Amino acid sequence: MKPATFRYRRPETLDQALAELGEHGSGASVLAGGQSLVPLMNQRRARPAVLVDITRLPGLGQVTDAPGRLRVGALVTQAAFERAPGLAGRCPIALECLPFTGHLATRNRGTVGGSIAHADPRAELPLALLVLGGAAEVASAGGRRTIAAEDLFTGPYESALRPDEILVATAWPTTDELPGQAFEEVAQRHGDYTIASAAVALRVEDGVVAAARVGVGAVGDRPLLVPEPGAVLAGRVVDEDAAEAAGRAAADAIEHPLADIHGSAAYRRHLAGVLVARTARRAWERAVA
Amino acid sequence: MGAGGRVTAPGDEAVAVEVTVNGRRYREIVEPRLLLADLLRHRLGLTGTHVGCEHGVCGACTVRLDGLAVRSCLVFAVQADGCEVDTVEGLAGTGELTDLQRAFRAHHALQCGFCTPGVLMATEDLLARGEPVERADVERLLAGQVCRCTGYEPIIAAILETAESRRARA
Repeated sequence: MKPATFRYRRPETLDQALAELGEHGSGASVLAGGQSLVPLMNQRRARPAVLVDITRLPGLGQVTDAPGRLRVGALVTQAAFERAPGLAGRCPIALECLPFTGHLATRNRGTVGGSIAHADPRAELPLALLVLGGAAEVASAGGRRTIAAEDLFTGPYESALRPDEILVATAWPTTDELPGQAFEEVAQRHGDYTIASAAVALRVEDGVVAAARVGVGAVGDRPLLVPEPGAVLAGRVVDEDAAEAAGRAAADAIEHPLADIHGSAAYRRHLAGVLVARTARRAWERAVA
Repeated sequence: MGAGGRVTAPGDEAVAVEVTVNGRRYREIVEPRLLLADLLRHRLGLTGTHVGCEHGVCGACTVRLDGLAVRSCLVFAVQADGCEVDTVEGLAGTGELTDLQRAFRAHHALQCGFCTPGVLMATEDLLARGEPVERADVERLLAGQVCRCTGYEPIIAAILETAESRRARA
């Protein structure tokens, strides 16, 4: 299908873009890479009256390496993030989740900021940002604020961003805090919609887990941070038994698993547990390597 | 009104777009909602770019935008303003098939040919990176390019052969 009509704005400064959003409110949508919004528009599931194209705004396309975190401008494409120098050492969870994010041709255009703001409960980047304890930097005509990832995802395709706000950057904590990181997911075909995913980031001290953050994706109405498996892992060596126990704890903690034609609730719960066990093992191996 | 038609709808405003396609510059007045795929096909007559699903799943409409493979059904024509677009017509622009196209013929990597332009354009992006290409890389690439005829094996063979011969020449 073809999209419905809309008015097109291509502001050249962030202030102009914010003024457009302030004027048109929820009738306007922000267009970045368009790899989620344009399909919705083509299917007429989204019909914004005004489209504010931010792709030509200056200063939003860089990855900046700061102490303890990578600051990723909203317009950095998923493909560019994947190739960011040093990503393997600084933020391995991002490097590991990006190949699952759509396909080469959609990553070339889809942005990191767009994926976070779109808040798809099945998407990889929101889960990774959540597990790392990252944040989003958002701007409105009234100023800027930072939203912690824990507070950012509020429901399916719903975020804490107000209609007059634009996400300008995301902050990705680097391995200094949680050096052992792993991400895994299952989909019918590579790059298709996630059936279940899991991410783990942990720190080892004195030969045992000192801190672990565990998250699961595509099993709820948003990416979920689950504390139970982290508690299971704390103080332990992550051998097969500990990993499996963490996986079971994660599966049990999922309250209302999503169910659709790609997977029943029971299957998704099971899969999430298996993936948590696998990622916990891998994160451990990387932390002690 | 056809997809390539002029603006009449309320709330819509015509916009000018200047785009270079296969080295030739075009200036068009378009509705903002006109997709790049439809600009290419209906305005510029470049029907080599095929349109399958129109929501970014099948990959048939893949072209290169400033060198990078993109779904032309997920880009508005106005967003290509000032950009360079390469379509399948540009591959054998001189009348001689490229090495990749010859490999497709040699390996019978197409039957109906609907997916082929998209596969070729996506592959050219992968090969342009100059990195070694493994079978797994090709399989991942083709996960985003739906083919209903070949079973993919001949396509994989053609791409791997081309990747190898280009690296040997480089």
